[in-house]
Amino acid sequence: MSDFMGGLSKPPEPPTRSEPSRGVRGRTRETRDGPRGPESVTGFGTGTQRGGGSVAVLRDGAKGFWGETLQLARAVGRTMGVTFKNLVARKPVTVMYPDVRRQYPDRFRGVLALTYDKETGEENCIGCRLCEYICPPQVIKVEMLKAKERNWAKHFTLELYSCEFCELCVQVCPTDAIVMLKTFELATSDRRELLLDKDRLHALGLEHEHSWATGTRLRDMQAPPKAARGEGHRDGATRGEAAVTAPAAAAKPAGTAALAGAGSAEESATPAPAAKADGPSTAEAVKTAAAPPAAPGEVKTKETAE
Amino acid sequence: MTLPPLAQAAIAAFIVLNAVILMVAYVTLLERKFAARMQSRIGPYYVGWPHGWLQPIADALKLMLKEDVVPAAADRWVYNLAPIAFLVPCVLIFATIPFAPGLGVADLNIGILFFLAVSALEIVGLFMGGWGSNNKYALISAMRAVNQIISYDLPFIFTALVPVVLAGSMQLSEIVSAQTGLFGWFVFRAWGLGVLALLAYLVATIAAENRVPFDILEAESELVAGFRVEYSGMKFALIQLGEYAHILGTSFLGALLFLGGWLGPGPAWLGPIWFLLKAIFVFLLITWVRWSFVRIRVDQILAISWKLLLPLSIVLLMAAAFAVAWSGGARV
Repeated sequence: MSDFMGGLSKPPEPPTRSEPSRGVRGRTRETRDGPRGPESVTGFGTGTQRGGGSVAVLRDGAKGFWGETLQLARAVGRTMGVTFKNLVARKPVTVMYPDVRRQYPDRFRGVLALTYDKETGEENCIGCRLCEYICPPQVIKVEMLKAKERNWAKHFTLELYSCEFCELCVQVCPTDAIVMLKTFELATSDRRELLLDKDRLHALGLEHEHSWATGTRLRDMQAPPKAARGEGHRDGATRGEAAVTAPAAAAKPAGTAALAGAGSAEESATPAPAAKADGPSTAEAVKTAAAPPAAPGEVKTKETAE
Repeated sequence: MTLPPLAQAAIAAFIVLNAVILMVAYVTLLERKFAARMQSRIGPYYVGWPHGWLQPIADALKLMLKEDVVPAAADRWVYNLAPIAFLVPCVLIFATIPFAPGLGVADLNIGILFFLAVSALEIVGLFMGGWGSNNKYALISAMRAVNQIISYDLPFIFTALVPVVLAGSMQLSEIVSAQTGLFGWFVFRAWGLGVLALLAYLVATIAAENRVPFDILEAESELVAGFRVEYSGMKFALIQLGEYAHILGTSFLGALLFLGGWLGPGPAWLGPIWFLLKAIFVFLLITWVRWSFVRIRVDQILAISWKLLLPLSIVLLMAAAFAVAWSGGARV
């Protein structure tokens, strides 16, 4: 009789196991002939399960016509209860997109752009082609223009229509020349409009809000605090500063303070939302900053071990 | 009235037909809003202030402007006739529904029989569409629909006959007038038989209209859009119209059979409004079910019909007959 209605109410589970197996969330899941667990959980509907006298949707013990019918009725009631609660009790979560925009996270990975130097107005790109090498879909093409003081990018093209927005180019850029923007509105009727050259990448950078991540910031977030070496390209001094501030920051209780210690290597004022935006990276920053005061020898052994 | 009866009937039919089509259009908007709220969304919003009330009109205009594509290999006659053959029975069922005493196209003395017979004809148009499209998905879907609708028309008819037995008449206005009085509706009467009959009626209705969770004839992963996969433009719109008209028609019938039709507090002219509210209530019940469940398998659908619903509805019918006989013609 338990095969009534084509097994409509049977849980999809191999029936012959003698000991209670572990459910998805580590609770005991009762099997056909095993002992009944503290509560029979099917893996469905854990979000709406109330404690104590909760009704499991599919209970294996129900046998026979009336058992199954009762079980079905309960399941139907619960399901329709959830939708009814949604209907009357919960407000819509819709954001009316073109009119209202939600706050995008600071690590938003959107359209790419090239940056200018703020003081001199020169481009930051030195044409080193690191982004071209690391790009997985190979959409970046750079040509270097050699000069006396520094190098320039003669051409810089980015085929945005094939970009996979992995942010690797931002991570490797030694001069923070390429960044991501907090915009994703790429829709266009002509694919060629997404083949971005240097000028358009510059223009995009001026037009939209930049994401938090730059090459220096990302590297600082991942590296352990280092003693000043003086050989860094232009932020050698600031890195040393990070190593000095780290122990001081670790003394402060809050994680935001620790992030300020590690994150303000480049700029003295880290934007405050950055601390909220990225969970895992914050944790990493805390770890980095909370490391014991940087004895140079210790840091070195760590580095060699890596 | 000096008009000949045929002209009167024609005018009444014209009014009812247009009212039905307008109602069907707005019922789709209602369903979309309702479904959206169940999923914490807003639903149609931009076309027409407030809350997108012009959306059905916009949809109809869009469908009218669309290109009408006929597959090269289609059986043209069957393919082109199918939407009409599908729509006509679905709209025709409204002919026999009285919206208030004396307000309706034709209050037949076998009204419910007419309703059940005509609403079952829908399957012809559906299968014509599946066959005429000359598309394997459409054909498989139409065959599934045929076996499902035939399975569920039986319990549908049996449950719809319970109020007939209780009221002792097949005329729909008589059935309503048998439900007067406080708690006189058939849902509340006959010692719980009415509630069971209404539930069985709802399940059979949902299944006979191929709605979720019994909507196996439309499956994005295997059958695409089912029997209407090859239809576009206005033909598609006619099929959709027919489907919703059928749902609305059975909602009206459910409200009439079990919820007392136009009976309600207030003056007599409020009757049609009560009836409409009750029908919308039944429609929302069906919609609520639709947005709560996932679909079930083909064999389970057939098993539910033949093993559970059909015996249950027969038992209900027999119990109702027994109750009427036991009370010797008095109100049950």
